[in-house]
Amino acid sequence: MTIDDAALLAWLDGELSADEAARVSAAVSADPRLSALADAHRAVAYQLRAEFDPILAETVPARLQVVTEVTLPAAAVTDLAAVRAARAGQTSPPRRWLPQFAALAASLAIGLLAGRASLDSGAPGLVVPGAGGLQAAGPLAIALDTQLAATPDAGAVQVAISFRDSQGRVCRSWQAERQEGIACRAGDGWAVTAALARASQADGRYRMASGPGVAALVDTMIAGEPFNAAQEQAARALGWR
Amino acid sequence: MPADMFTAELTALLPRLRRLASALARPPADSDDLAQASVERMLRARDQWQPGTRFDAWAFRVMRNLWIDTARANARQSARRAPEEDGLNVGDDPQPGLEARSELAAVRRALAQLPPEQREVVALITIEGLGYAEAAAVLDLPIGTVSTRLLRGRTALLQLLAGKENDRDN
Repeated sequence: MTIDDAALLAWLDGELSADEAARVSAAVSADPRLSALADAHRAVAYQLRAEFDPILAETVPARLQVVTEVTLPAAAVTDLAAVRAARAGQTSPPRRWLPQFAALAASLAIGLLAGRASLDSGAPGLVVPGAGGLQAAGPLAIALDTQLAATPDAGAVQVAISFRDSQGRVCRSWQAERQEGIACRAGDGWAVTAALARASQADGRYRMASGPGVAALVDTMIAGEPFNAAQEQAARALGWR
Repeated sequence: MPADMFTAELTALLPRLRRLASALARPPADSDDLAQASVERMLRARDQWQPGTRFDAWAFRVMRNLWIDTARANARQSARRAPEEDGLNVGDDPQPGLEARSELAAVRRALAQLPPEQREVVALITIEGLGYAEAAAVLDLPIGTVSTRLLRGRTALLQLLAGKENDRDN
């Protein structure tokens, strides 16, 4: 039986069913021309991968990360209320924000991936890898479970805002000494959807408002308004569902 | 779509995006220019990615579509251009210029000499490791067309590299 060159290549690439592969394999064993061709194709594939695979191990150049690390203009977002007021006042350019939020979010992800060690050293055990992504642990998990927003002298973790996101989850923005972020209810735990490194205040106190990074992210996620005190207490009574 | 999922996927894919850009862009074009432009386009088009579908296939499609217009225009331009002009157009070397670049590995030069339609299937399947059906989805082509172009490209590479046995660097 004859094996065409396309079938030979498909066999080398693992594209054939077991039956077809067995047929080609037998034909290649029996035919020196096919066998030599198969070896030549394998050699070229090997050369290609040897040439291009090392790129995977290279450091991604800064300018590629610069693209994803464009930050919001300094004066653009001071807090959630200001953003909302601005949007209510001028309806024309809100779409302009989206790429910037996207870029900001990208810088968060890079910070997360690149800064795992610094996250741990800054606040051991607050954010840990879980099955479905990063999860809150330790004092952060406890604060998210129990603490109402803006509780004075709350301890190691301060919860800033509680809200329901566009997926219907209860989410809460939080601040610790070295980081701040957002966590959303996932089962009986909290999925950390964002974590930013944060410079601590010189006097050791927490800023009461989230920095522009977290506020901007909240604004991309939130459905409706942040919970008021009564809504937050009700949500806590229901286990943040 | 949660912002963190998209950005985590994109960040994790950056090394593979650089590898694909490097396989697609013809030297001396800077492949990181293609990678950077692709990342920018992905950030703008992020809402088009459906969570639950393969992110790499979506991202490769964005990069490929960005690259193919330029590649085809350059190919047409090279075909039309008189030979004596070749040396003046550094941005899109036709074959003679490429062959002269002995610092490039022979296999990279050979890949760069394939027509765009063959180079992209070789890049996606042989270098990136996509299956034929996955590559067909990225390229929006029937799987039979992908298979045919792959065979032509791989056969051309065999011939180009066999003809260069005495001409290899190092």
